[in-house]
Amino acid sequence: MKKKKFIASFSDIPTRRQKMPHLSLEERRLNFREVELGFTEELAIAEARRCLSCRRCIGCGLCLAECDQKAIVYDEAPETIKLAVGAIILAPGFDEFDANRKRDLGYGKYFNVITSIELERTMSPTGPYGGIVMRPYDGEVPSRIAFVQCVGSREEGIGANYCSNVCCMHALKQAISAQERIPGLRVKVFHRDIRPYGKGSDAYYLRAKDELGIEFVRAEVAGAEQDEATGNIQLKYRANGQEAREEFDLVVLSVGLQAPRDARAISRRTRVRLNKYSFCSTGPFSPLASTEGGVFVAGAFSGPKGICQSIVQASGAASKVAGLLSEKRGEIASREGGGGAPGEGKEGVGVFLCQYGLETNGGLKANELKGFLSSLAQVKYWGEALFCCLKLGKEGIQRAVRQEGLTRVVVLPCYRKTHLPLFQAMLSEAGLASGQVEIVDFSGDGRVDGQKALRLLEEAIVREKTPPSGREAKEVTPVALVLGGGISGMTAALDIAAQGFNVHLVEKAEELGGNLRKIRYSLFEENPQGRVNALMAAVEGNERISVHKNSTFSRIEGEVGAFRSLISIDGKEETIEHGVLILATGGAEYRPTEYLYGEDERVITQRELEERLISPQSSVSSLQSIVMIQCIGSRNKEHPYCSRICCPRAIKNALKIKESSPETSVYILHRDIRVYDFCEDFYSEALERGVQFIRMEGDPSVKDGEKLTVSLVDGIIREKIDLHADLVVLSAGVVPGPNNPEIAELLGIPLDDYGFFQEADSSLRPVEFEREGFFLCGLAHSPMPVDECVAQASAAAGKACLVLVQGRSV
Amino acid sequence: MTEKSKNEGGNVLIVGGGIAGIEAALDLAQAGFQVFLLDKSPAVGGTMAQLDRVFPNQGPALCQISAKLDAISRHPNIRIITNANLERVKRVNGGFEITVRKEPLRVNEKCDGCAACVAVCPIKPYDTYNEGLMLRTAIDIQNSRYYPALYNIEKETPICQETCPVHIDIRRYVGLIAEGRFDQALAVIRERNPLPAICGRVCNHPCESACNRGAQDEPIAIDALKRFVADYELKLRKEGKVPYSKAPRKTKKARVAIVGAGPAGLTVGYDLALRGYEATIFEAAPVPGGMLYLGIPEYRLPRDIIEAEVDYIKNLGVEIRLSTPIGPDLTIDDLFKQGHKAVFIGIGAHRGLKLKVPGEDDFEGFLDCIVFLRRVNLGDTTKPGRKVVVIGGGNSAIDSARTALRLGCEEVSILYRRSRREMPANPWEIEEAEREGVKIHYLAAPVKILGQNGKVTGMLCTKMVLGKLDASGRRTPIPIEGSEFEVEADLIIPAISQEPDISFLHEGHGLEISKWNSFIIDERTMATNRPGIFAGGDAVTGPSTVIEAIAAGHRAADSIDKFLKD
Repeated sequence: MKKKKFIASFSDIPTRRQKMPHLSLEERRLNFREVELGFTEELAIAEARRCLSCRRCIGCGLCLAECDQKAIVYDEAPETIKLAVGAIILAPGFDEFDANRKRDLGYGKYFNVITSIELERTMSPTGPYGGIVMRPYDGEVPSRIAFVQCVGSREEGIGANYCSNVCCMHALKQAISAQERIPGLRVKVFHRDIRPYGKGSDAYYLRAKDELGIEFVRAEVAGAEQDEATGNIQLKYRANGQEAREEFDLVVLSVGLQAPRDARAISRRTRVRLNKYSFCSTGPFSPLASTEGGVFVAGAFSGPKGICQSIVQASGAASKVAGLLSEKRGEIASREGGGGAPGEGKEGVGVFLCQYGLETNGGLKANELKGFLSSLAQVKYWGEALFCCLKLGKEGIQRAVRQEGLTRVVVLPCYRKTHLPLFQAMLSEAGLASGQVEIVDFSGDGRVDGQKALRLLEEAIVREKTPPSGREAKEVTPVALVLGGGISGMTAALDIAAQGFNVHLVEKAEELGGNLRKIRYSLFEENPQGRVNALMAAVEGNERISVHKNSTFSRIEGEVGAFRSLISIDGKEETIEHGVLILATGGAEYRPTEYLYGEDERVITQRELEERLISPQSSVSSLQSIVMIQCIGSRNKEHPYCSRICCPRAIKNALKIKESSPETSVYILHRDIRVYDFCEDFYSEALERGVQFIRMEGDPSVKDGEKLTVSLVDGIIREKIDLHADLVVLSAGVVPGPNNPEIAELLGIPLDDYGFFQEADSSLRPVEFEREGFFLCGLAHSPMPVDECVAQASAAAGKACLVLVQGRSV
Repeated sequence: MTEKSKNEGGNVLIVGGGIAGIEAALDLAQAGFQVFLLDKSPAVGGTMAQLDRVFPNQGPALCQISAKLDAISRHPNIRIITNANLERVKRVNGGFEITVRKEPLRVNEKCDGCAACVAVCPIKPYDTYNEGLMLRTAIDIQNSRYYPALYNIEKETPICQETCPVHIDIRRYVGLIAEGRFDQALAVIRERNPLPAICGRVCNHPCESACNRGAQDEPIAIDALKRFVADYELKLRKEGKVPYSKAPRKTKKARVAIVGAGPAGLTVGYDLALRGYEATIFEAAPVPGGMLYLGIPEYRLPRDIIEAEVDYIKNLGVEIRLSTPIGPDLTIDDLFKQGHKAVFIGIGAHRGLKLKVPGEDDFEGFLDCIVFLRRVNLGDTTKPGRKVVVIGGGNSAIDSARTALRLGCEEVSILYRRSRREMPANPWEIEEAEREGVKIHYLAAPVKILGQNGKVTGMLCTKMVLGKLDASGRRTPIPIEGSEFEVEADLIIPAISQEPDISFLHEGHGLEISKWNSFIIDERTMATNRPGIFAGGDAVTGPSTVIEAIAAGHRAADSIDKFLKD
């Protein structure tokens, strides 16, 4: 929760409220006289005066008198607006956990205990301290910062027994950012399990830990105390079974994400159901649908999410709506601005330096540029501007162009790809042709020093006209090609078909369904096979979808809107014309070579265990001891990423075992238990049912014998222990599809460091490729659970249809 | 016309202008749909607009979102509605009819952003965009390095008034008290609350929990201030210095019958009298006030206070017939036959719920809190027992315990199955009870009532542990196996919860009743399924607060007025 609004700075000294006189305890005995005696006149007036310091607009009229434009309307009335719509998307976001509820951690008591969002504002160049990391107590730059994780998350007692997903990564990002700004800064992160969510996060974590020297301490933080003299904070914590204390200059509480305060109100009005944590209720196979038809959900409303996931869900929800309302689609409007009169000459160049851009690109000095700019003959005008790209800066730039008669404008530094259309539109209003606007972009070049900046700037000033960015109208083949018939490919195909386009779905296997056909039961869905079968039937029965099984893709030519691909169907070659391509070729399960797998039949994978557990002849209940080993083929040298699905899967199977055979001992050997958002409840349940979670240090070893012996170093007591097992279950991770290099080559698209496909932008364009017309979803992107595959598939379908709809207007 | 409706079917509402809402809006607009993007704050951008950098691409969040903000602001298919909340959603032929309430910005488009106003504004609230790390002004481009970068003035209803179920203009009356204008302050309160001296004593005052001052030191003692001005007038009236004002003239022909003289019924009477109706309250008990008189003990709410407030309402021309139960001799249908054009049912919830443990009906010395308090409040002050155990954690449990102490019982304790944190009773009442000597045992629940020779001797209890959150968001208490223990007692007072006692209804009354024996109504109009019959207060909600009952009374009176006019 944000700080309460509307508190004025107090002109009076804060005072406790007036005490009302009470009857003494003796006077109360054996009678019914009134206990509270009420205020006297003096007390009442004194108490009422406390209220006067605390106000919002009082209508004093001072601003009215100052406003030359006569723009202030005090008595403007609220307005009631009626809208008729065909569908609703709910994306009200989240609220931060109110750290005031954690007084024992010092928040609200000590100035130098702040929340992660407060640190975010502190670090922002537009924030209260201009981006300088300082502590609120005395403005000192801290040299020791502690991050306390899971504040307001994973705690039954405060009504939030779920993981907030984003906080580990958020703390990491902030820690690294702060280190960049404060040389020699020491950072300690106090955490429970470390759960860096999202693609590429583990590498980021390892870099922070191993290269940047950020310390990670697995600990339970019990309290905080302030040193009165220095304002420093002593943290009390318990790590490795021992109490410890340590002093920091600044303590940051990584506050969790909660359902938005107006969740209940929204639920009442729209009738969508909420879960017990007041987030919107959705299912694993329908992460974008609420319980009400026509009402969709995106972003953190259905559970904690970061920016990338929110964008995926937003595009996915948009796709669902577009499918639902496809008959009612209006005219396709262009997103680009107008052209303006063509300008001539290179004489009237104006250069605008973005203060914010310079600020965030730490290496660059504005002064160096200024000297250089005044030496250039073509440059008629230059100036620094704040927020060039926002409404606030816009008018200043337009005014300068008109007054100085500028014929060409260069902005630096900025993002060419995203911001060029913005500046073209802005300047066309001032009469400049779009070709006369240029942006100097440093983002692709890492850190840019003065020399290089000057060179790029000079190039931009003298560069010939920028070609207009608007796409020219051309034929678009309104057909999509989807590679891969797993859950992602099927979802994408159905979404595109719902939007009214034909789809070719190419699957190399004999059957649709992919990896999911092996899932027998699941934590959130009672009948996953039923869902998959229903999906398969829907795809096969859809007249807009041509399903090609036993088929492979062998060549593509053309460009966005008009591709021609060669597909071999049952060995027969066929050419397909299509406007877009969606890559949903999935991933594979790691095949273990370690821990006697394949040598001893008592060593199996989680998937094999799952098969056994549902088989009627299951012998599992006769076993005394089962040991599960996590991170097989994940988070190691060869596969330095988290496979995401193995922790929930181990818990799922452990619960299944405990259900039929409570006496069987189940051990889960792990490095961190990584169950995100509402899956946490199942982790708690497993603990309650007696599943034993042991954090291992290093790798365990497995020896055969009458029983299998698993030896490991317990990460908490730091001692070697031996476990005897009837069954060892390996949680094999997700690996990239074996054909990925070949597909990447065929399509001319990049793979990431691990062999999955590399999207255009890991934050903002997660389902698009840099190469236009190609889209990506599911395990081809990175390991992820079903709900995320489904959301991504819809997002990819939605983005792909944005290309296909252009075919309709031509 | 067909063209238009076709277009409307292709409109989409997006609630929330953070990154998810923005991205969805852009996708849909580009695909040819008309999008309405709604945000409750004055500017879009959400949390992402507060961030410094974005993970994992490490770009500045501001730059990354600015391009998107620019795109939504320029797109012809997107209409941005800020400062607005969803008010109503209605399904109509396959789509939705949406009502949105847009709060005023109070600065119009003529503003050129010169910021001269900011320089002179004397009000400095916390800047929420900067997480309260600095102050801003009441007129400001709030949060808005972002679109739409409009100046605006935040001048909505104060949070206390917003929170109060009857929306008393608290800031105004407290301001008047600060200036010593007590009579005017009381008039402000009476605009919305007919029982100021009562509420000034027993209200659970949610306004104080919301009060902004609480973030600084302690909230304003709003409730005690209300009591002060009400008492101030009572004192003067007793001294003959303040006469009653003249009753409003009966300008309306229609007569209204009110069943029950509790806070809900009294409020309906008060409101209707002020509007010129003839209202008659039928009360089964020999005293007015309902639960105020029969449930709340005197040490919290003296009887003369209740009588004085009831007198005030009577003086407005409301007739109150005590000891006049509705039942077989006088049915609701009879009330209509007598010429009443509308009936309000505000009978409260006076039937205690069963514990559902063995032995509860078997022994003497087992008395529901409602029966117990009613007996004492009607004047029976004999000592009921020596060792008293109250079961429950609400205000009635605390009231029963403190009352038992005052009757001279030697040992009084309370048994509650959850922990202190979950206890629904007012925290200040719990504190007082403990100070007076009531022992509270948390995390314990009864299993069986024990007795001998037809008299209660004690109770078998079990210890509890708190488990997971249930659907209501509270932690479910779970018995710990094998933790049973015995408690000695000669009087056991269950104070679990209550439900309305609907035995007064005649056969074929035709009213819809829920499975909790409460009346089912339309929440907006308070109307039951039978035209002309309205209901409100505990009779509808089950046990709730005085101020909620008054709020229900207001809603019902408005609705009855409208019903009689139509």
